[in-house]
Amino acid sequence: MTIPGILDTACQQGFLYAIAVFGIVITLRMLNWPDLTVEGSFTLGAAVLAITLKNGYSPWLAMLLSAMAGFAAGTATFALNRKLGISKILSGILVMLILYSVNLRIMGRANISLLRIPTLFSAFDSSGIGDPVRLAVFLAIAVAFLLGLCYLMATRIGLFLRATGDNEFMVQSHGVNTSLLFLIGLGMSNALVAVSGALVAQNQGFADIGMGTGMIITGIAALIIGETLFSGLVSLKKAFVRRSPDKEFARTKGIHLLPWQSFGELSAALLGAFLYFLIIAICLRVGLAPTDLRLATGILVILGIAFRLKGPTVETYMRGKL
Amino acid sequence: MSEAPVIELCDVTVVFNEGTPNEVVALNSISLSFAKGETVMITGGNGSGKTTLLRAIAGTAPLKRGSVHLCGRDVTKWAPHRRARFMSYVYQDATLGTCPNLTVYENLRLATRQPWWSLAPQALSISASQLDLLEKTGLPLAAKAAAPVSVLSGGQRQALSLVLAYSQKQPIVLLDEFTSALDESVEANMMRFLRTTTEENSHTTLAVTHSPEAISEIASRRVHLNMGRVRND
Repeated sequence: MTIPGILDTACQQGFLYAIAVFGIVITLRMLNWPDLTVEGSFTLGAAVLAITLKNGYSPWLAMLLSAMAGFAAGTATFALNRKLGISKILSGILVMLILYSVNLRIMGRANISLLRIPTLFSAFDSSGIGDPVRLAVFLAIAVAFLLGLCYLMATRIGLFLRATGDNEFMVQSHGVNTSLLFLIGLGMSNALVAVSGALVAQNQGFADIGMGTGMIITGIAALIIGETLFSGLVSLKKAFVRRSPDKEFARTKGIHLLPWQSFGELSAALLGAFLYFLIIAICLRVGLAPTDLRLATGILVILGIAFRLKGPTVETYMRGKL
Repeated sequence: MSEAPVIELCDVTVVFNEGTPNEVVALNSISLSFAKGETVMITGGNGSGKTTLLRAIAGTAPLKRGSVHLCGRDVTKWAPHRRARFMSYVYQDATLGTCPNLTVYENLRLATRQPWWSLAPQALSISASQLDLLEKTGLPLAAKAAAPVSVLSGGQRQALSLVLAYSQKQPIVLLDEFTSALDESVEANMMRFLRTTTEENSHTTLAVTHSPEAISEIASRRVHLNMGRVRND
């Protein structure tokens, strides 16, 4: 694979998988709920899309159904935990397990080819539009989701979603039913993951029963890489840019705070997804066997976490230098 | 004709670990009522049922018998989050009353009286009434609006909990030993805050305390509990 080829693969996969990583940010970072349902809902999105397209329906309808199916998967996990009292982790594992059979039932077999079936990306194939335009469209899709979620998190409902993961008790004391917020959060997260699965299936031209396997660790790896790099960039800015008193005053009045709180987390997810697939493409380029990719991913996550916990921060490094 | 009580407890009994060797009767047939604007000091020794009394009102302690009426409504079967629409609660542990990873500003936004499901963008400044409450604490909280709550000291966090409780403008405020972990200077600040806010508003305030002398100057009534029963009122 050439360098442009590596970049092309990293961008294509990174931008589409970033939507799933946004979903993982909502559960893992905002709701403080490590949700393993995503392993099944990613494939569920692809399966629902494939079977809907196969039956001759519009790709837009297929995308909508995929999102709804993902939301339903999140609702199932919510119900197991909040209504039956099963732990968060086990609820996710159970739904993931059930979804494997459900996905096979939906697809009827382990793999459905989408070749010669109109998809959202068919225009790129038929009109001969090149990869740069395809990449620009993928980036635009990812950025649209990022901005939409940033807006949502800057609203009151978004603020309460983040507060629920932080201190559920406190949110209840404000008269809010936190169960409803968990339902919204889990449903939305799995809907995003399912939409990502549906987009990936259209891009690669098939839906496969195994395509969601390892999704949670892929998402966490992307998140850790993105957050490590993003926090580094923020510290770098802090090390060089001194805040003026006027800006400090603006900050004390709360100006411009809310919309950017989630922007950092979500941008880190997008950046991390791209970098994760870039690293994977490079690993394959240097001769790593595809079967060793899980090992590489695991090591990557460990290194990312270790660096954040034990490594030097840019601020302390710069303080030593300046 | 006298005004209906804001809080009314009728024959409230709370039993923990019922039917086990560890059974504890935390509240035993308590009947109390509190009028609008009253500031009541709840005192008693450890295990006397002070905190359980507040929890029975808030709905977090299940009643074995009896009923709870808030603002004229029977809320006995209401979930805690529904009852919270009538009251604010300040806990002994400051970490329970705030969201540590959200900023001071975001915590303040949570306490404004707007529907939680609103999809309108949030106002990008602290309201004048909340700024006023922050200043009354005598602590530099407004200057830390952009900081996450986790970086505040225990006293600052408890002060923020008080501000959050009073900025919700609920008819009832429950204070559960909220000064027990504070040093003298911060406690004096909190008392000054309480005095001015209770003078300016008509909240019904129930304050559980181990140090009655601290709160006696603002309390209009004292309820003393012992072994889950009212000993003095």
